[in-house]
Amino acid sequence: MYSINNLSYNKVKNKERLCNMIKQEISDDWGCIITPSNNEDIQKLEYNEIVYLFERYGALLFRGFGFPPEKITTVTDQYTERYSGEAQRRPSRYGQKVVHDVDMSGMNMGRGVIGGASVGWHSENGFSPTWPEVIWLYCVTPPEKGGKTMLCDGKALWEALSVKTKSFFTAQPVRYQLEIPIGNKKPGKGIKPWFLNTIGTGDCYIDWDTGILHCTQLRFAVQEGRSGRDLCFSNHLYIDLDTEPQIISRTMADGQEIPESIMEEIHQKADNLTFEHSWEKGDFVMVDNLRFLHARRAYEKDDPRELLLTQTERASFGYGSSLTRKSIN
Amino acid sequence: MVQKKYDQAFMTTFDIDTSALGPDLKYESIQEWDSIGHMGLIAELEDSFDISMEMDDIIDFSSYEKGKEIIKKYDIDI
Repeated sequence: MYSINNLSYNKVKNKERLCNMIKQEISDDWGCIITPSNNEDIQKLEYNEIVYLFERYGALLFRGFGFPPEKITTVTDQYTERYSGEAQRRPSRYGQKVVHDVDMSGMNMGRGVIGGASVGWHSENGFSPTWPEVIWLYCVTPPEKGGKTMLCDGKALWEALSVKTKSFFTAQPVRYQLEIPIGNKKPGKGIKPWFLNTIGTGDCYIDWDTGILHCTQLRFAVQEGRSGRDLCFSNHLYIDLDTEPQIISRTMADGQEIPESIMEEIHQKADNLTFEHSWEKGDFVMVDNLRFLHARRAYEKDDPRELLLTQTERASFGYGSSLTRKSIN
Repeated sequence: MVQKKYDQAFMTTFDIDTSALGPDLKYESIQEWDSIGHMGLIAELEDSFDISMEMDDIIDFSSYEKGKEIIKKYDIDI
């Protein structure tokens, strides 16, 4: 495991001054810290440069830009074609519909982890028909103790897994049986068959008496990364179902459970690849949610930690659009 | 009266005013009209006009204007 506490951390390397920002790699393969070169406004960073860095490194930490939480969407709007619909119906923060509290936002959707308990590896809404491409985290108040966010590069994790485990997950998708609150009830209206125009979604109906959308979602645990050359192990296999009431069951498509030996191997290898982020006030992180898994360390119930989450379901730039063969080589 | 009911379904579901109604109002043209917002809109229209829409029509219901054509199939003269 490795971590950064400040910009001088010795794992951070290859410092490079670009037109209006300073870029520092966290590792050769992933992760990049962006700082202003001269008090630049984060909104004025070069769009194409940020898209390239995001697609190349998968996780960008913007530090030292000093913009307030009320301005989050002025940044995220530039990189977003559509925000996650499910997320829009959570309680919003700082006057922005698509900005939510990380630790409390799922509560009214019937899920969430009470208090400051740890949260296992997951890709945000990796089970959902509206799986966000990009997630954004903003630190209003860092935790005083604990509460760090962990990241695991699903590309590196996939490369580390045994052929036996890889074969298991390339052969068939995972089947999530879901009950998704849609934030609207119509008592007496009963059941309405429904259709969602997303691949792998089926058996769909709305129970208007309860305001719940029922469906199944088939989704491979591994998918093509933005470069088109690599596969990324990013999914929702590890979260305890007791803390995720939207997922009624989780099996492979043929109904079999994931063998314990495979889960153990994934955990062990993910732990070896864990990056632990210590939050600083104003940190703003952009994560490729189809590539990375993230998790949370436990923290005290009365800790002042306040993190905000925004979910970009579809980015404003094409999948892998900046990663041509020429630009990578 | 029918037009008013039709408009009201959009305004209630998406919390918009009359100025937002028209040819530019399409699926995903506003944040509120996404896949989940679509469920609410169809339910509101079904309740307002006491109809049950076919799934094909629900999928085709891609804009404010297109919706008027679709509603006519249910003997509602708009």
